Amino acid sequence: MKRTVLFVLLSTASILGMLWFSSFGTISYSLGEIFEILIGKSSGTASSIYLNLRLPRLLVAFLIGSGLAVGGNGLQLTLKNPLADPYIIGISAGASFGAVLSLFLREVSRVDLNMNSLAFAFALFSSFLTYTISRRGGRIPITTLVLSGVIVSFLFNAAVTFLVVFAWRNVITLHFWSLGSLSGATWNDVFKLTPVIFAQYGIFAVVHRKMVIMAAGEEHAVTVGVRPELLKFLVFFTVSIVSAVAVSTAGLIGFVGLVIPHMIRLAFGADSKLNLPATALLGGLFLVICDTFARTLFQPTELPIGAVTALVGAPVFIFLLRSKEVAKDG
Amino acid sequence: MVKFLAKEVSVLKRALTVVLIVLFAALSAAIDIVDDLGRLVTINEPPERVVVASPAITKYLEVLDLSSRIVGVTDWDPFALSNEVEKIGNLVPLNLEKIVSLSPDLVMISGGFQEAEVEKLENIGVNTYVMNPNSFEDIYRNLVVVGNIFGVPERGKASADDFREEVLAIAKDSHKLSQDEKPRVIYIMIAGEVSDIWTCGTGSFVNQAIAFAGGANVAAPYSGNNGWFPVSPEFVLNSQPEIILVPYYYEGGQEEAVNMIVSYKPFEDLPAVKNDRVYPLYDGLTAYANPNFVNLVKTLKEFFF
Repeated sequence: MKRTVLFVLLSTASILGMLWFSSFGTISYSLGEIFEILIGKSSGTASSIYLNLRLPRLLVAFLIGSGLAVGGNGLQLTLKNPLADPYIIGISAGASFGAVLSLFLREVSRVDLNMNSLAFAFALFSSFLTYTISRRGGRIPITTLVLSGVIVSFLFNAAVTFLVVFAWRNVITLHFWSLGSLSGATWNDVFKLTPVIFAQYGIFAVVHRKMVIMAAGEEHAVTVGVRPELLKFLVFFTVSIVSAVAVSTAGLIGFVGLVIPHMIRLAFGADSKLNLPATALLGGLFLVICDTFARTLFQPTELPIGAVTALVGAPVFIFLLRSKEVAKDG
Repeated sequence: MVKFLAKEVSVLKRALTVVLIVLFAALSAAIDIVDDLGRLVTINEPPERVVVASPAITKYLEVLDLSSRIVGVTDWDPFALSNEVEKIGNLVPLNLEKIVSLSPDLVMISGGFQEAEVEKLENIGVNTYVMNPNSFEDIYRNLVVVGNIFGVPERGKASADDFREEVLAIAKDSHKLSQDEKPRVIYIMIAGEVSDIWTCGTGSFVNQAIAFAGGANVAAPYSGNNGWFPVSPEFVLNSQPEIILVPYYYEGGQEEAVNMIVSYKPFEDLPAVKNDRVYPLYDGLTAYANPNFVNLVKTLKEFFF
């Protein structure tokens, strides 16, 4: 009961909060003005800025944030590892390599491959690479996973640098790929992200119970009829798609998938029915807040959003790494 | 009755002719220009409000007396120091909201690392012209192009011709020199440590300026992105330059820039260091290929002879 109240509060706060955050920026709007724009009673430059730039950007931030948070949650449960996150275990680095490779092929070899599918292929490849490297006799020790993830990330980031230098591209382009930005998000991005994020949500909603059982231990899971390898593959596959689409839209954004699931587990518990919707909501809200900071802190100059999420997320990561649960296992 | 109708028809014909002429005039005011990314840009009428999203471009508008059309520049643009103009933030990523809020008729932007921003501007329907001058010839051509965009083609052509005249006068003078009379020159841009050197070879307009001013750039046989590439101190020692050019970034920074080179132990036996021929060069001259090129060539000429 208490949790339901908490969830209702959280969702109301998310929607109102997002409206409120959307009022800040290069041009500030009052909530009344936003309301008038949304019901179509307002026109002119200010309203077109809100509808064509601010609003799609806000939605893209929300979608990517919730997608990454839900994905991180899935990884943490199935790998039984509190530090799993698309960014930490190298999925995002693989995706960004795929995205840059598609740009490279288009410019240098005149081969036109779809950016999203190439990003996805390498996201999947890097996730299994990390998984294979870190696996020790059927289980994945926490620190080994983190180390393997770091190595895989290094590998793919180095490969990105190599491609960029090889193609005689300026290094600042590279900077975008290493710390993402939501600048320039359009309605097309919203339409591209929506089905992917919702599909992930749907799949994870179906297998959520199984993931929670997996988190209690693989041996235990087998005895109640869960097929661990199949489940892991499904989770890796889904998270890879989401990471690939997120990276090709906004570049690398780290730590969302790490911080949010932990906060939600503290508030709701891992096996609660509300865990998944709350993770999605808070993840989206978190990225919207980070993007608001990125847009407004030094305006009119914009910060890369990856820098903001890392600033918040890295301390949480350190805290988790020092916590008892991890210290015991590592 | 028939006669009366005939009159009506002739009036109608005349009216139609007038409409057609007006329509033709209106349509022909629009021009299509291919920009430096190969994009076809349509300019319906000379833009009144321009956002200059790269400090590399501002000088062209200033030279052509079009500064009053500028409504926004990036944070890094010296133009904002002496003019009342909105700042739009960084070059990458562009603050699109800020740009749209200035309701510009045209956004002018560089290529290279800003290429990815062009698509964003297109997506939100902002008319964008990409200008990526990289050589003396590009500067000449872009002066003409900017003149055409802003409906002052004669001014653009005249300014471009003056520019070419001035540069070629110096270049012709240098042309008389024999190979032995030309000093061996290297441009050294230091990124942090002296061991971390970037220099310019073929493809860079600074290399071109060195040649026009009568120097022999020791890095000229090589090239890189826009003509720029990193070299090791060994390369510098091996090429034994008689003149070293170093950029400085603010007034008063000259001494420090020269000192970095002179005090670097491995360089102490270089002819340039022994003969006190390490010259500070203002970064504003070498950062962008713009009409300041004339001053760059003149300054170099003074250093060399």
